[in-house]
Amino acid sequence: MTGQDHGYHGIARAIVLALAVLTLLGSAIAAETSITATLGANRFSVDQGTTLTITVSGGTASRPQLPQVDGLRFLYSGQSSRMEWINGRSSSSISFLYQVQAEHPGSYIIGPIKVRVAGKKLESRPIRCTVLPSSSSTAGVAPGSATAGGSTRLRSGEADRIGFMRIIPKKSTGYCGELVPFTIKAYFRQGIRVTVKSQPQVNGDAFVLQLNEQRPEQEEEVVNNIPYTVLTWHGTLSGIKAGTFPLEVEIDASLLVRRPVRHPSSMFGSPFFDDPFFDDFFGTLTRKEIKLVSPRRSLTIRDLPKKGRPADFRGAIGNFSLAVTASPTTTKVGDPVTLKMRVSGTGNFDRVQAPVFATGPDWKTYPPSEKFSDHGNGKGTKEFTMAIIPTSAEISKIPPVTFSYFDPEAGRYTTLRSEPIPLQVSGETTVPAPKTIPAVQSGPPRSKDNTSTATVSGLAPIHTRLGELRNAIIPLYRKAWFQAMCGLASLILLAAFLLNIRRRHLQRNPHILAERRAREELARHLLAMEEAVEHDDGSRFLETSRRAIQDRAGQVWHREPRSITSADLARHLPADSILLRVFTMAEHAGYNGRVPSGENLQGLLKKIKNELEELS
Amino acid sequence: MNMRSLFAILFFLMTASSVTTIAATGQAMNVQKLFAQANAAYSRGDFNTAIKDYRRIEQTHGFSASLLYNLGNALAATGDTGRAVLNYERALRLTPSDQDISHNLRLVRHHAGLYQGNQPLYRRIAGFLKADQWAFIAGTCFALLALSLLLPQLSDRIPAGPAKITALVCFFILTLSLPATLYTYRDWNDGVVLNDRTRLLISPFASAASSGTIQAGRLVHPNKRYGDYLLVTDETGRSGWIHRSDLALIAQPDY
Repeated sequence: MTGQDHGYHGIARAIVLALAVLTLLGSAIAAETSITATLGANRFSVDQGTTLTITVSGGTASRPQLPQVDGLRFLYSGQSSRMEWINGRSSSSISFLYQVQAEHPGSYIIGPIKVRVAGKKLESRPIRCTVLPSSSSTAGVAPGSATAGGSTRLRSGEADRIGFMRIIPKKSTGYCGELVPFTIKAYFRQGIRVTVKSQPQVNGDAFVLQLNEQRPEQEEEVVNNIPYTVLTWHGTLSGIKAGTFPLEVEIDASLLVRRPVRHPSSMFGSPFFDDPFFDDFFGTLTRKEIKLVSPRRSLTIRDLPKKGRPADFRGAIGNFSLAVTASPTTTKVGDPVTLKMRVSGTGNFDRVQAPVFATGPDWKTYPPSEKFSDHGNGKGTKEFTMAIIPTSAEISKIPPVTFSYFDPEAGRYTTLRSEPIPLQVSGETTVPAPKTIPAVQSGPPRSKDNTSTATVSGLAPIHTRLGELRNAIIPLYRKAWFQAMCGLASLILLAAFLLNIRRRHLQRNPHILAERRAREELARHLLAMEEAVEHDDGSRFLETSRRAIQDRAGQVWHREPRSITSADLARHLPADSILLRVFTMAEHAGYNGRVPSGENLQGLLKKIKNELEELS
Repeated sequence: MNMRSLFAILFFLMTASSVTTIAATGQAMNVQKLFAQANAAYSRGDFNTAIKDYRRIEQTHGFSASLLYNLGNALAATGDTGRAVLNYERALRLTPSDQDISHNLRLVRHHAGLYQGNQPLYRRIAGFLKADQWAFIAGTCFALLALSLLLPQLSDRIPAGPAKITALVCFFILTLSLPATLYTYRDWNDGVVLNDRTRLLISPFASAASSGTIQAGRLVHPNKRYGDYLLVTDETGRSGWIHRSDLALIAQPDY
């Protein structure tokens, strides 16, 4: 691929990117344009070189025009774009990367670099850099020279090797605790199978390194006409003590390499097996552990100045804003008011502590709780929630809270002060009750914050009866009696449901009920007949027999029993039927007085019973 | 088996039974004595001795609502808010209607600034009663509902009108109390933060960044566990990982 091809590629990519950005974002994109040019290192050796990053924000840009600098060469190595949406506002930037190579040591000034963005011409500030003589200490180790067994240690700056690495901090000096943004880039030659096995780690104990994302960005870059796969991490580092310290990062990776098969080349005296093709063909793939180390560079860390340090300064370093709200703003003496203090901005939030609330006799306060929201790149919001209780009805406002921090860019301390918040307090002023119970500290270490009160007064007295001892806290639903009660209730509910179904069924079929009633009547009459036989009461026997016959006939013929007469029976029953005979006898007994008695009754009872059962 | 052997067995059983009864009575007397001793220590302001004695009873014989309540009082008196809240909460699990426990718990939480903030209406309604109380109401209403539906089916002498009204009222209370029961039982095994300014971590590792601190005595709901860390959500809705040694679960006294 020629240099011209690269140029066409670059222009085509820029056009596609610009179109995509325009289509997606339209006019929503904030149109603030700027250009910054930074060197990976302002001091570098002749054999190392460094990177030049030109970042254009707020619009699409063509390739920047680089100035001619005698003794320096700029090799275009690719570009990357970045888009961000924060709270509905978008921003975009394009970074152009160049490899800077020096021909001889000395001091150089690069710039200004010009670029055209949306019809506007932008210029970067000139950059000063120093090129040092060649340093053997930063030489990399070629893969071929790696010793067997141990991990291969590759030093950066060797563009023609397997890979190299860069850490590019945004600045070379900082204050203790200040977050310095950085970019780490690991370059691996394309076509080589590499697995990254660790996150970048900083060597030494002078810095704390924090990555924004665990997964690196992956892109392609061309360095010295060699294509590389580049893994990029962004993050922040902070110095933990004052002094000048070396900064070096490393990552572990494993490399898949083909090991050639050694065979005696003169075995058959034939050059056939000496062909390198067979070395590749029969070679085996093996993993080689390597460690990629960035060139060492130094970072100077300074102590925070003592001059001008506010009394309420608690270590916050960065650039912050403060917002305070309270709720409710109408309250009673002794009732809590929640004070929310929100510290937002960019900086080291580990060192941000709660703003100071000026306590006095009118207020009772509690230690605040805190919640941190990380927005990445050192940006964030820490919210402190504090309960404050007015002890006087004369209070009309919540006093201002103060928050002091050190601004490393400006190099001075800043104190933020909130506005007083109007408050309406009703009720009587309370006098703090004397502590009747002495404070005895035990258990875990307590907060040393003197706003935290020691002991509680006004507790209800202790219980003197021990009560039933047990070994577990069992919820009611797992207790046997409760489960039994619920089970029983379920059964009752089921029974009620079934009974209801039955009742509805009977209501829909009234003849079932009528038949049942007739059966009951018949049984009653049969019983009365038996009693009549027992007492030898012929007239009662006839009367109950007549009713029994009517009930049974009514039941069988589906008629009203009392409407059945001897004529009906004569129509349905044979002439010698005992039922017809007894029925007629019962009708005649009323006026002729002839009733059966004695053994006749027994015989009649038996026959009537049989015939009633057979009646259908 | 002859009579002599029978008498021997009977004698042995009676002796064993008597020895067991005497031992149990003696043990009960010892516990009562120790409890009284702990109460006396509390009354004279020797809270550390009181705590030691209450804990001895708890470890050797178990616990009761009164024991946990008294222990909570002693801990509150020494300023150990986290453990005081824990013991009050445990005591309330055993006797949810005890006014002394509720009062002291409220007082200790108020004293330590453990406010819950504005709660949604459904949470405030559910908070009127404890989980067991809601369960009891729901269970009783369910049983009454079942009876009021069954009895009129069994006998015509029981008037259907009042039975229907009873069933309707029970059903109404049941529909209210059942969701409250389920909701409050979700919090049954909540935890209490024991140590003040416990760090809430963004991931379950000691070296993880902190997303804030949490006060001792805060009630937290455990969601997930990873190794020695628990992902919890506190009463104010904040969430994060805390080490299990910074937390005690209310319904598991030996956790």
